[in-house]
This record gives sequence, C-alpha cells and structure tokens, in this order.
Amino acid sequence: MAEKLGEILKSHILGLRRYAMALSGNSIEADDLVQECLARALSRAHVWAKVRDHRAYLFTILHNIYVDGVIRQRRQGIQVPIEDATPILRALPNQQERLEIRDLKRGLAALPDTHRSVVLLVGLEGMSYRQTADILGVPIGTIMSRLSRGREMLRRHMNNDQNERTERALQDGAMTAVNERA
Amino acid sequence: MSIIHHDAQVREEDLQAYVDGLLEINLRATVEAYLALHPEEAERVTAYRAQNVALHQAYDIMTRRPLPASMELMLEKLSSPDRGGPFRRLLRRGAMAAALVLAVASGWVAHEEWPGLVQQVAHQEDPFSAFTRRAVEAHAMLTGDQSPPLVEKGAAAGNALVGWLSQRSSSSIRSAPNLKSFDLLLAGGRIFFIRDQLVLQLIYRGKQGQVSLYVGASPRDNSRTTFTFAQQGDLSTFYWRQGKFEFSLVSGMPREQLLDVAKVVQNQLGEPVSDPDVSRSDVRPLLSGGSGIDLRKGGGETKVGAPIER
Repeated sequence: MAEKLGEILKSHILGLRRYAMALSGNSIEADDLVQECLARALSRAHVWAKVRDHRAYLFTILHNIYVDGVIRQRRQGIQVPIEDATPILRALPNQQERLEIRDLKRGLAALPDTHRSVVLLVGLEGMSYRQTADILGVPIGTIMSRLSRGREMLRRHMNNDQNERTERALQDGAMTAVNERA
Repeated sequence: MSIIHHDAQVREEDLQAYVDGLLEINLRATVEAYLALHPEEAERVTAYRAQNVALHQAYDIMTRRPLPASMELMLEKLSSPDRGGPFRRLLRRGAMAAALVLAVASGWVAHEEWPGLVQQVAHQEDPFSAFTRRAVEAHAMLTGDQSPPLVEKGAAAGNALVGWLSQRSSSSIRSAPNLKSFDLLLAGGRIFFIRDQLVLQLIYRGKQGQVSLYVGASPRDNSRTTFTFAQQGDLSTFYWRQGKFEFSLVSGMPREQLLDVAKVVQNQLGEPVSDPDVSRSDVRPLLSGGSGIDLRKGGGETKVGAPIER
C-alpha cells in the first residue's frame, strides 16, 4: 500500500507544485504547501482505497491548506526567492513575451483567491468544471461565474498593464526626440 | 465589472466551455456563428485562450525544476520496498523530511548532494505530460539531421492508418484532418505501440515546416480535458482529449498559429462515433486506401486531397 501510494504521489507531484506556485506566487511557499499536502495525504492513507480521483483529491488537500493560511503564517514575511521578486532583471531572449508573463503574474495576484483558484484549476491544470467544483467544494454554477469573472478581470488587468507600457514607451520616445532636438 | 450580454441561445458558460475545448459538439457551430457576428466577443474568447497558453508559459517551469531534497527523500522512502512498515513510520519520515526542509531552506544543504534522487523523480510525470513528451520525442525524430523516410507515405496511407486505429479501438475517427487551409499537406503517418498504448502519428508538411498530430486511443476514461499548452524547447504542443482518444499537436510554429490549427483539427474530428457498426462501415473505404473520404462535418474543405507522395 505504501509503495502504491508513493507511486500515486509521484505521478501528481509536479502538477501540485505548478498549481501551488501559481496560486501562491512564491516558490518557497509553494514547496511548503506541497510538502504539507504530501504529509496530510500520508496521514490519511487509510482512506485512499475509497478515493476514485486521486488527482482531484490531492488538489483538494493542497487547496484547503492554502485556504487555512497555516503555511503563510509560519513564514510571515520571510524570504522571497530572487527570481520571483525580480523577473524583469533577468536578461531573456524574448522580452515581449516576458513582459506578457509578468503582466499575467501581476494580474493573477490581483484576483481574489476564490477566482484565482478557478482560473488556475481550469486553465492551467486542465480540470473539468465538475472536478473544479469538487475540489473547491462549491456548486458548479458558482465555478462558472467565478471562471467568467476571473478571466475577465485578468484580461482587463493585462490590457491596462500593456496600455500603460505603450504609453510610457511613447512618452519616452517623445522625450528622446525633444532632447535630441535640443 | 459586467460581462457583455449575449443572444439567448449562446450562454456565457458556453463561451467559457468553448475557450476550454469543453463545449459539446452540437453547440460549437452556434457559438462560432455567434462569434463571427460579435467581434468583441470573439476578441474576449481569444484573450481567454491566450491566458491559458500564458499560464503554461509562466508556470510549466515548475515541472522541470528539481524537487526539494525533502520531497525527494519522502518519495524515495515511500517507494523503497524494504520496510513497508506502518504509517507511523511514514509519518516519522515525514517529520524527518520537514527538518530537512528547514535545512535546505536555510542553505545548509544543497540539492546537488542528491543527484541520484533528483534524476529518479524527474522522470515521474502526470499522465498528460507523459503523452505530450512522447509526442515531442516522436516529432523530434522527424526533424533530426537525417529524418527517417516515412514508412507509410502519402495522404491515403495516412488515412488508412486512421481507419486501422479506429478499428482497433472500437471507436472511430473518420479520416485524417485536412489542414490545406494552413498550406499543410498530409505527408504520411506511422503507428507505434508505447507501453500498452496504441499511438498514431500523422505528419503534415508545408512551407512553414512540419506539424505532427499524435493520436492515442485513451484507455483511461472518457472525460475531456481542456486544451493544454506546453512549450518544449523550440516546439509548441497542444494536448487535448476527445471521446476515446487523446491528441497532441506538435510543431515549431508560433503558439497562436498552432492553436488555430488545433481548433480546426478538433472541429474536423467532431464527436467520435462509438457505435461499432457505424465505425466499421466507415473504416472499410479507408483501409482500401481510397482518397477523398468525406469527413462528417462541413462542406467544400472537408475532402482529403489526393496523395502528395507516392
């Protein structure tokens, strides 16, 4: 049984880690969440035989830990890995794409937790609407409205960021032109 | 913030399902007609699909980073067959691992001290990453310096393979998707057996390079998965599941373009028919190598062209 459980956990750990990262926006917190999730899954090993959808079950555990906020309290205001804090400082080939991803991360961070989790479970983890409803413990109709609102908020956020950038670039351009003339 | 209102026959949740590739096939035409008439809505749908793609670009990196040593250790202990002891022991190991987390987090221990473990776990993937990875490997084989000659050349042969796969999996795909609208022609295909899964690779070629569609009969279940995007090196991939099959589309073309291709493929494949009688009668002409097999959906564009290679 322990071996089988090990196999199950292994096959889902990467997805859990990705979701935890996107949900929390911090890789240290993400790994703590996954670690705690694994520990809780092990402590409930006796119910595993009854679980039909292992993946959804693990995501449910992880999500509940996130909502409890225990991990965050434990870590209150400590380290932020440098790559999370300064994505823009790293020289990367495709600058435009990097900016888009930065906008996305900011937009996600601005979403309410309840909406962010739906957008991520559906859009990133490929969960069905039914699975998402089960994981978050809310009716499917609520999932649909959060998905719709979450995506729209994210879109507007990303559009704003992009517009601001364009405007700034135009202003910079104008300033350069003025300086050159002077 | 308010969402724009729609005609009565297209609901907001239909649009969301359309974004995720989860819309029932019989509603798809209605939604597409609606989007054609409402450019703002079409723009919104495009933006939401782009969000899904961007999410993968932003976070898939987490699936490639080595796991923290603590997790490696935990999994290692769980899988080692020696002392399959009671859960209490597992919990104690968990506590030990938790202590290690602190050690690692405070920089006392470097990941490099467990190279073996990192290797081991790096090979574990969730099921659809595994499918996608195999699709990418199969695609990479085509683009190697000396790409191997196709065993089954031409569109007719490609279609024959589709028919064969349909027959073997008691479910049907009518014929290979037609991608002429993207200047991509079916160059051929091949069949693999990987583990216990039967897999078909269809290869399309055009001026912009090649695209391969990797089709596997999915023994797992019928549940549909949303379009899942992944970038592997220079290659973009889209994964989705439809009926009894799973698909991975792989190409070096930009992701937006590949998404358009994926949409057309998904549309053309339509709802798989599971009635064995229907599938058998459909399959026969494919197996006899006939070209110009009608796809179920749509009109002029849905004929598979004459073989382009002999």
